[in-house]
Amino acid sequence: MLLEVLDDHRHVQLRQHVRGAGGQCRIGRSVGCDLTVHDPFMAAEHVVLTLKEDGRVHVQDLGSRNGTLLDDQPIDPGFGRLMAGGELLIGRTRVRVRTADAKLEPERPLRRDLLLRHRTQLAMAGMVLCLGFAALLQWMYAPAQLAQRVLIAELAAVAALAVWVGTWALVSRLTVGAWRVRIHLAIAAFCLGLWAWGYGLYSVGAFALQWRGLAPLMIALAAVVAFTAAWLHLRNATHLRQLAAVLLAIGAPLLCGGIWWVLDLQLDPRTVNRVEQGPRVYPPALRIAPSVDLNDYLADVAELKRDASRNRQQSLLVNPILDSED
Amino acid sequence: MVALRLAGCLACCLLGLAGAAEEKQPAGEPAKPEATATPPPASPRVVTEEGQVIAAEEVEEPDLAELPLSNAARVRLDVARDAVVQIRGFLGNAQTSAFHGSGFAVGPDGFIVTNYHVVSEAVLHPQRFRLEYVTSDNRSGRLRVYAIDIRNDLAVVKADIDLMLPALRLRRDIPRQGARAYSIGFPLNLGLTITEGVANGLVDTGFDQRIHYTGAINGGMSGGPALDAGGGVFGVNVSVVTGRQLVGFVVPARHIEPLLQRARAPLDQLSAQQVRNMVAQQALVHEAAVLEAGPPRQATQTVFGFTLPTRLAAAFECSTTGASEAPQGVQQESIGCFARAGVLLQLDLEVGRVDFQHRVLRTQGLHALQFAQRLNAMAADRRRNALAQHVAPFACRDALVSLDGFDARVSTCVRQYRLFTGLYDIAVTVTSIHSMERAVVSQLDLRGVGFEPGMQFVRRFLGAMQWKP
Repeated sequence: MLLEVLDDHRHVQLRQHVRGAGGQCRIGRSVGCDLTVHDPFMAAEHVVLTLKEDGRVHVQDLGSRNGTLLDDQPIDPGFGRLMAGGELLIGRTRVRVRTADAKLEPERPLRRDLLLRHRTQLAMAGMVLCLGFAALLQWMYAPAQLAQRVLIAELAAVAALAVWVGTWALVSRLTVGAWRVRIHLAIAAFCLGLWAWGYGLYSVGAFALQWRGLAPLMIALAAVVAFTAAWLHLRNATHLRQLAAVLLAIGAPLLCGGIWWVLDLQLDPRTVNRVEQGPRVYPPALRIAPSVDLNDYLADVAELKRDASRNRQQSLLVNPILDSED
Repeated sequence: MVALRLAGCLACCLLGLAGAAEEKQPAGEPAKPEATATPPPASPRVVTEEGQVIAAEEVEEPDLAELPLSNAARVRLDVARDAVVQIRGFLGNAQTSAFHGSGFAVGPDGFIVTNYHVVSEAVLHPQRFRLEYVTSDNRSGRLRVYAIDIRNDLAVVKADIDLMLPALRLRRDIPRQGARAYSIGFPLNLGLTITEGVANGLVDTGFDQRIHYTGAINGGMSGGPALDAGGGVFGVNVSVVTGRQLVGFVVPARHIEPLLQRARAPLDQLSAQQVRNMVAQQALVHEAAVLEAGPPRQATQTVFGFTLPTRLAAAFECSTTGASEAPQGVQQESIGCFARAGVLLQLDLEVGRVDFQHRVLRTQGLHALQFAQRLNAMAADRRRNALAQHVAPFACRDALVSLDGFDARVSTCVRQYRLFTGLYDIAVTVTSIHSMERAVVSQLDLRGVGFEPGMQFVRRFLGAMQWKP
């Protein structure tokens, strides 16, 4: 049996081997123990582990005040518990117990973790995506001082990324003990770059095709990018389990999006002055969809009477006219 | 041009003094004429001749040239003092007023004339606001609205009891330009006040008839009488151009008589919805007249190959401006047109303003993508500032539409008024997309129109656009 004392970041601090059936290991603060840990929440002699003949380990709490947890479940102080392996919480110290019986997870293939292997290249590529888009955007506006504007835009993009990456790097440092700047930069820059270029492509595509279904599709894609980025950040910055990380990665962006939607669209009184003009215009060479006849368009526009009436009904529901007789 | 435009849209702001910070009784009583003053003109009652409306031609205007100005004003004020009342609006059971204006007695039936915008809140929200009068001898009591005329911004009100006010004599014609004139009312709640000025004839560029009065009119004087030198009422104070000097407007008195004939029963006998429908109906009739009025003289103008609608109706005024940016080789010409025909439905709600703007862009130096970006920015920079309490959100439709000689992205947005079901705002934006060297961005805004008449106007507007290389 192998005992590993873990620190706050779950890095192994101390290792202790116990060999042969009947071999024991006492854990506590006392120097008489086999494994002495300085943890004020631990008893002098807190717990004893005994290696059984079948290879399993018997855990017996020695009557400590705080008790002992095995994989977050308390161990009965009277009978103790048999286990093939797991993580004990003794006081505030985590001790990983491994036996020959414990199942090992299959080897994680190194080449599949592209993010980890190519973090430098990916971070640089993501930065190029973001900065390139910022420069293109400024060029499109054709300002009088192009160089100055581009510089300001690049600095703004770098500042936004710095805040984003800095936050996640700090979470990483506090939770797993490493900054992982390049990994978080790669995730953030790619997320931002994909959003920006995706929006640009969507804008051109919406003009070219004049297809209404494109907008929901792009929103869905943008959401997928956001979920993926959040999940990758969480996986690299925390010890959350797979399921918890996925739920949090989907929940947090949805919550942010929902709050934005409510604040921006529902509570903003300027909403009544907002007009949707349709896809932005681009050079005619990019256009695929044919134009419609003026009469057909006006026939379509006549339907707006119904839509406007529906908007009014909704507006009266949300914000009724304050007269008792209405 | 700016000043004229303002005139159309600025109501004589009844006041801004909500809650009436200075709650002064109007009996701040200016000094009574002294015994030595010129003999007062024949008693006002005599002038009114049993309330008969006398055409001005029949009245001889006394020659006041020899009187010092101050005396003349005092004499006019003495004529009108007892006929003029202050009108106050109160929220619920509040004891201090929410808004106030002026009014004056006309005709034999005890009717008082004022501006519609003075009483609009009480008309539209009878459950929330009540109206009261205060006479020159400090009597006060409840007022009820009997008839309204949105287009001319007039209303007829009456007290529940006979106030025995001396009625003022109405004058049907318009005073000559340069004729001396007086305006009476309760400006800023400071007590009864008379100001002296000059009548400058009908404003001939406006869609509605207003007499241009050069003299001080301030908030709170709305609804007060404008008197000629003979003491006859030639109009009702209605609005002023703020930020300018002494440019006021007066509704001609000839619109009062038809309104008096319509005043049979108080409006509060109708349901609130019926009254609102009536208001909306009057606005729609006005609006139809604005959009259709008169044969157009020259309905289009051509800029850089684009033929663009300008004076689609006689009520429109247009102006053309231009600008160029040297480094990018961009030239822009703008044509702005508007119909100065707004009417107030509520204090902060004006409908009937129709305006559109064409901006034609020509370039040599810009890349096609940069040019397209320009067009997008121009199409988006239209400010609309309606309040959420008045209108519902827009519903929009857009498409690439083939117009005469060119293709354009056309987007049309429509929103309905919350209080007035028959009224809509329509906003149209046209962005041409056939060329990235010359393009036009046109924006049309119709405020407070009926849906079908509005759409017919949109059809005329779009149908008039043309491009010839």
